[in-house]
Amino acid sequence: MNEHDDKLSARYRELAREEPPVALDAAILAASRRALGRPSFARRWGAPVSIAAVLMLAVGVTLHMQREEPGVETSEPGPAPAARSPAPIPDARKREATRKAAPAPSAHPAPMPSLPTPQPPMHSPASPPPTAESAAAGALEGKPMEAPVPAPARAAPAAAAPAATQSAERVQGFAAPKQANQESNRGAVRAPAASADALSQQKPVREERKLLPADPAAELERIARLRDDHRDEEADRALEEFRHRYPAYRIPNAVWERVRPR
Amino acid sequence: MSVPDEQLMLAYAGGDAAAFETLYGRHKGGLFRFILRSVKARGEAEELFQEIWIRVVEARSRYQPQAKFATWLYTIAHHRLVDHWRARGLAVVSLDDEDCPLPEPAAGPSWDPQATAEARETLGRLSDAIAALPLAQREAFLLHQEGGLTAAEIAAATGSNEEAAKSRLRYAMNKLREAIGDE
Repeated sequence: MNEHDDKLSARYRELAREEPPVALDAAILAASRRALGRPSFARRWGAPVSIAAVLMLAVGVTLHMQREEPGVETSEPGPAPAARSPAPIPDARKREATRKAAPAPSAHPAPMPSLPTPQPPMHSPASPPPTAESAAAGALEGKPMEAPVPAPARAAPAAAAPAATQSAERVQGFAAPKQANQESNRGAVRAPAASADALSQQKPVREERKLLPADPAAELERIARLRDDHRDEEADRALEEFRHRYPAYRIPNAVWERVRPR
Repeated sequence: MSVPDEQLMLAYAGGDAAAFETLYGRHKGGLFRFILRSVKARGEAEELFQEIWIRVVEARSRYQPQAKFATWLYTIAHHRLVDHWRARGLAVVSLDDEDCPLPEPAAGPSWDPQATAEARETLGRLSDAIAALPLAQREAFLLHQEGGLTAAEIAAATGSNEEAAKSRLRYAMNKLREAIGDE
């Protein structure tokens, strides 16, 4: 700043120094305190959503394991552990399809229902059924992952143990086996809790953001569709909500024309 | 040494209500004058001022101290003002039009009753000149004076580039100097 700027600034500072009314100060400070008492959406729902996600996952895994048990138990115990190769398996859905489509390497001669989807080329018919935990985690993660490698000893005693014990054991194993699984599990569990906050931060895309359906642009598109449908009240509310969620987001002019209040 | 704004905001996000009070106390005057001298109607200014702070409160958990707190605060204020102008039919294009006339005459802030008549006259001219500035220049000037933002920070807050922000600031200051006879 040069001398002229200093003079101008000094003059400017001589202008009235208006302040907000005391009542407004009080209202804003009260709102700021109330907000602390009332946790934000992510804080309020983060823990319950995480717990619910874990429970659903555990129940899903357990049910899946129970459905799978007869096939595993009655098959010859020898080839199953051997066939559980640690090689990466690209997609849990493909594996699921493969499991259903391919004849299991067991003594079950029952005819398998024919599936419309082609058999994935990555699997030999001798591939064992994927473990439920890897399938569930892979499906949630939505990306390729390594198949977990359970201890070979687990399959043999499993045949004799009651189904509930096996399921519990495998759920425990689900939490332990490999780093890759741990990472994917964490991502799967964390994702719902992170949804509200992760969206508005204009930061590099993080892993969990891939799982989130909404972003500011998508939200604006949704508002524009509401306008198109003449649902202006909803659109007004959505726009207001948008401004609260993404206060620093700059709405492009073209988009603004589509979403602005009518 | 006072606690930086960014730490206060993080402390508030962590549950410290007193941190917000300090932060609010530091910025309320500047932000209020920025808004008041932008929209000129006190009622609207108060409403916008409250909305902006509520947005700060609601965004606390997403706050990342990647820039000065003031830049973040005035970015929120800028967006709210843009929405305000848009809702009144003032296209954002006029924000960038250096010679766009203002849509309404300046109502002017209230004056310091202790000032002399001559000083009042000068200040009156300055106030009118600020009100008569094109939107983008006035915004740049007020962000500089009230928010203490540099040209780069003004550019960040208004979504423009630094050169444009510098240019707006320079034009604004030249016009204001001319208005108060300090060339």
